[in-house]
Amino acid sequence: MNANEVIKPAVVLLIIAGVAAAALGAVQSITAEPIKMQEEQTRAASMKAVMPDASSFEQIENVELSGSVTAVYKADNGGFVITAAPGGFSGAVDTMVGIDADGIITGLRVTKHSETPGLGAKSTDPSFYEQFAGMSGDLAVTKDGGEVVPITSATITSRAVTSGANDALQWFTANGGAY
Amino acid sequence: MANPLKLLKNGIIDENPTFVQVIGMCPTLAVTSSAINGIGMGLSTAAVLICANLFISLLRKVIPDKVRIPCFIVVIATFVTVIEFMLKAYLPALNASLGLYIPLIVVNCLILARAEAFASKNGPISAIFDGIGMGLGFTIALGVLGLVREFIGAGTLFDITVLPAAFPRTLLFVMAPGAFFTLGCLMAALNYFRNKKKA
Repeated sequence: MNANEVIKPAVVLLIIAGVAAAALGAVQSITAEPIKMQEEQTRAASMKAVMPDASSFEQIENVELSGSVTAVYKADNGGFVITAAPGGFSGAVDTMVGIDADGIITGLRVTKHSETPGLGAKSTDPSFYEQFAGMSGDLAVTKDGGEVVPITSATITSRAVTSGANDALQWFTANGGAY
Repeated sequence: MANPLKLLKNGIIDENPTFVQVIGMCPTLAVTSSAINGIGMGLSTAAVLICANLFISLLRKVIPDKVRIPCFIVVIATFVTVIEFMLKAYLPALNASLGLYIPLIVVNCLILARAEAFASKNGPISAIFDGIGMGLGFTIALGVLGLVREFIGAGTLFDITVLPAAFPRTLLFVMAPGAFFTLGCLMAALNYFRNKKKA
């Protein structure tokens, strides 16, 4: 086997990989700005949905997180938007909860999940999440003696969302006064 | 150069990637829980397939035989990543439902199979038509699978409710087992008609 047989394929592969890397870099730098904007828009839209009365939100840095709470945002009307990631049927169910200054839920949305289509995935239906608005205190699904009506055949997902809302409410009770 | 129409028909009917060649099964079974998802996945795959076929056909004389597979993978992965960026930036709604599956296109053996079996042996124009044919064949197959599963499982077509609320939904069909049932039945039906035509 002569050296040429080894070097030539390696050089060709190197060149192809190099060109591909350059092309990817170019596309990445072009799309970085629009992608960031889209993500911010999506987040702003869901924040607005869980707390319609507020107009701006600011993330509280270095906040003490409890339970499944992942981030806390302070709204300009004195309320909080809290994101939580309780464990569902298949992975985390990212839940966003708006809580006003009196500790009452103003709205709730499931922002990201990988639950079963047709069952747990129904947690993104208004018929499920809208019932949370106006609730406060300690929440539980009807099966566990609470007032949250679970999605048919998706009790685990319903419990997950409920526990996310609970964790958010508990964070508010424990730390809400400090901010 | 082969007849373009023949190449299209070959991809859509005679050698349909899903129903005849039975390749690229992972996305086929995973994303077809609704018609929109199936068609979206099919079109994204088709876009990658056409671009990859064209480039590999253009590079076929440059790529040494020994490293052809890594070269194909680099080309395919590049296009997939470009499409992923584009979807994220400009079609966020489609990205939300397909996002998880886009990276899977890289390992979709349909694209590698066409690169190896067709694009690396034919001219760029033929390769483009092969890509369009195979891509459409894949899209149609995924679309039909999605339609059937969505109809039986959720009572909707393209998210519009068509079955009366009193009619029971068979939830199983939007879950993984439903994908296998639907695929098996469609394949059996197609083979039945094909054999009948031959006889």
